[in-house]
Amino acid sequence: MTTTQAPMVVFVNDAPRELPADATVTTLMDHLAMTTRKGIALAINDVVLPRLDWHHHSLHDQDRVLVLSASQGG
Amino acid sequence: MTRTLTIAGVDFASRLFLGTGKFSSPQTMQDSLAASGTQLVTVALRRVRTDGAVDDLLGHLDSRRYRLLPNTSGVRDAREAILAAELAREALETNWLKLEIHPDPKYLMPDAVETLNATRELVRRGFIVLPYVHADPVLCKQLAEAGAAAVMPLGAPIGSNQGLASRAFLEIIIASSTVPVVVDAGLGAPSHAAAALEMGADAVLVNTAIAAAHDPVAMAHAFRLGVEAGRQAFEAGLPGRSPVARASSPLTAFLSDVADDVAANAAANVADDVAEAGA
Repeated sequence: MTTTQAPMVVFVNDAPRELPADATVTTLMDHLAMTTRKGIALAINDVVLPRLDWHHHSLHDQDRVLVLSASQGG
Repeated sequence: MTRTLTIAGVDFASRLFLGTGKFSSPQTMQDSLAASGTQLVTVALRRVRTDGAVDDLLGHLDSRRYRLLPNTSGVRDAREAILAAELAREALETNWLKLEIHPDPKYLMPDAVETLNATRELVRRGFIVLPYVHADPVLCKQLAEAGAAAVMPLGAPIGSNQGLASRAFLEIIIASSTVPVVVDAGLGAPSHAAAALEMGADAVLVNTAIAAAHDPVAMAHAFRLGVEAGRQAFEAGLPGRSPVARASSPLTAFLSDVADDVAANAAANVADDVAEAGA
């Protein structure tokens, strides 16, 4: 797929990241090399998005993406 | 063997739950978990690093051996806790949750109001909620009524190793709770864990005292023994206390005639029994 639109900016854990305008969540996770990582979950603008929906959920400019993973804790 | 603990329909042979924080290496954590005999371990959720660094905790936890209990550490109110819970369920594929809401970073005191509100909503959403709270008997009763699967009152502030500072209130909670009571936070030594189980606590959750020990693996085993001893003592039924001595050997005359002393001791015990019966 080609795109002529300007890139967009989303915020991943508060850090800005430029993506193609037609990016889906899978596009983003590919950029982050996390598509196949286990123990990951994400929310777009505070709404949890199940992994099954990543590939068809389009991101929008200024979206806030929260990506969490399991970590050591008590 | 002691009786099996059941929480939300799941049986636990071990009454020692472990946190996975503060271990110096994944190998030390794995060895400590194994030495403890635990079947339930807590994990946290953290924002992933986007620089490519990977914290592969799950790779070090055998999911067939340990049930995971994700916590909501880091959230400040019920709204954040619910989002964290939904993320935990998605990330770890479990609806079990250690609900902890402590907005104050210095003392990590749990927020009772937000915790109760979040419990109601999370139960409605199908979570198995184990809330971490103050040793507040009224609150624990309200949480059970709200559908909490167990309550997790603190012994002392998180990571403080102070032991059962809340003992008097834990005793009330244990006496009146309709759901399992897991003493969480502040246990600094196996004797603290043993004491909690002797009191009738259903389980304890330990992290810092093991992870920060000089030899975490040995300490994990020591806690295992403490928990087993405490539970077995509870089930065996501890005898009551007495303010006076009660002879364990027969008080018969030995080198000299002590008949008067025997009579005095027996009379004191009788008087004490009468006093206890009247109490």
